Amino acid sequence: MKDRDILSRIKRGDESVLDQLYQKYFRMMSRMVLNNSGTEDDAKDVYQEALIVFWQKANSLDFELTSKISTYLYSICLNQWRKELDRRSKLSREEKDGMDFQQHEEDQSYDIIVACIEELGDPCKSILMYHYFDGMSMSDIAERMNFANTDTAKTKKYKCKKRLDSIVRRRYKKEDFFS
Amino acid sequence: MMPHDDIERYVLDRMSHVEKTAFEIRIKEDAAINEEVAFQRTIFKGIGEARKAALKNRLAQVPVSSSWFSNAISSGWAKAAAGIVVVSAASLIFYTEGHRDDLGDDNSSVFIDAPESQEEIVISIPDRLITEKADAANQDIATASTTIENYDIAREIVEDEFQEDNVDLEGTLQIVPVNPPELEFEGELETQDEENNTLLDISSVEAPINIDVIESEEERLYRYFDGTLTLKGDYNSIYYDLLELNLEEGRLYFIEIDGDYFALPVTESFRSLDLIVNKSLISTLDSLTALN
Repeated sequence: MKDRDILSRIKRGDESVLDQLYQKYFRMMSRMVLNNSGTEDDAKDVYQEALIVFWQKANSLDFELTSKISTYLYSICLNQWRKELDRRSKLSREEKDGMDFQQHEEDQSYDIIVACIEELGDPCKSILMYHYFDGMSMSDIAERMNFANTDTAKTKKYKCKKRLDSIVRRRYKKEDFFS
Repeated sequence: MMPHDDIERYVLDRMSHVEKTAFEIRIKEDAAINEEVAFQRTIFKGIGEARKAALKNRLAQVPVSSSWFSNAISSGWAKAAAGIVVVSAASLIFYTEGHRDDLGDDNSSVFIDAPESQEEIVISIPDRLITEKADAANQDIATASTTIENYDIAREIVEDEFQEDNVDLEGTLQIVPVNPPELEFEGELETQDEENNTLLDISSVEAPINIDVIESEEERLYRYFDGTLTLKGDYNSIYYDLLELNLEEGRLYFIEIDGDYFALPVTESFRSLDLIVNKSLISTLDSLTALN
């Protein structure tokens, strides 16, 4: 399968292409991590993150691939792994406690949102993720989710977002977000 | 009244520069808007985290392994092969027994350790390929060693290309990525990603080889003779890459399928793919695959 076919499938929201890319290049990416002080779990984590970055970028309107996908993924993995090694190096020094605390606070806020999104269920959950993370247009969402038309998708998206805001406000205090 | 649309466009960075500047003044002046911006920022980040978690969860279900053995054992090749071998680190390029006849008298034997359940196989390597003179233009590399004793040197050269400006290799060693099916890849390959700030920059030359694919549902075979590589099997429906190492003694081709590399020595008749297990060579080919 050619790179342009892969991009085309990503644009159509075909997530199975990620599975194929994951399998195809995992050993190449993992060797890079394993040869640089990482473990197989590190390699999985780094490559999964890299694929998600690629997924999001490939879905953006101004994305232009100027190399092979393998090259692109390898460069993301290299960068992600360098960042991770830097982070671990910093953690092992004196900043550890402060960073841990700050990171913990942020993670808690996102956990709250993620829990509320789960509560929304489908189709709201998918609409919001497709639109706000994947960057899918409302017409593409309408087609993918078998809505009558783009306006229906827009209305649903608006209602779903309102509902999410409402759930978050109702169930959690302001201090949970702004400590 | 809370400007919800503007807040969303601001948080999602969909405003023009002028709009953004004006809106930031409003944020400073209005505590309620400021609070709502912070709230919505968390909401959108949370939506992103939910999506990432869903995609990561999906990928976590996909079976992968960094072990060549577990991957090889699950492949069709392994089922068909008489033995899976581990090449010692000292070896450079290996040829299977089927190639002994092609090698003449200048062969070295390399002892191969095979898993206990499988046969021990002696693989022959031509002496002329074990030592190659490198006349690389890059003086640092030439100072380190002027003899390519193994693929670690080639790997260093490739890694240098990742780390520094393009190294011009005009010497007797050329590492040439082949980019099928458009085999004429000239000029520079460049990729830059703003967020993941890595720049790769390599040069390549024309690769004079023809490739034919014969569709077949049977075992993957190949034939490489007279400048034409013929691939027989399900090659039209799988991912694969062809790689070329261009040494003084000749051009060596490799094919990468699902993370495994296979040597493609010259052969007039169709034959099976030879899995490469030499770690040093695999690292070199990894670098080429990434560059290609």
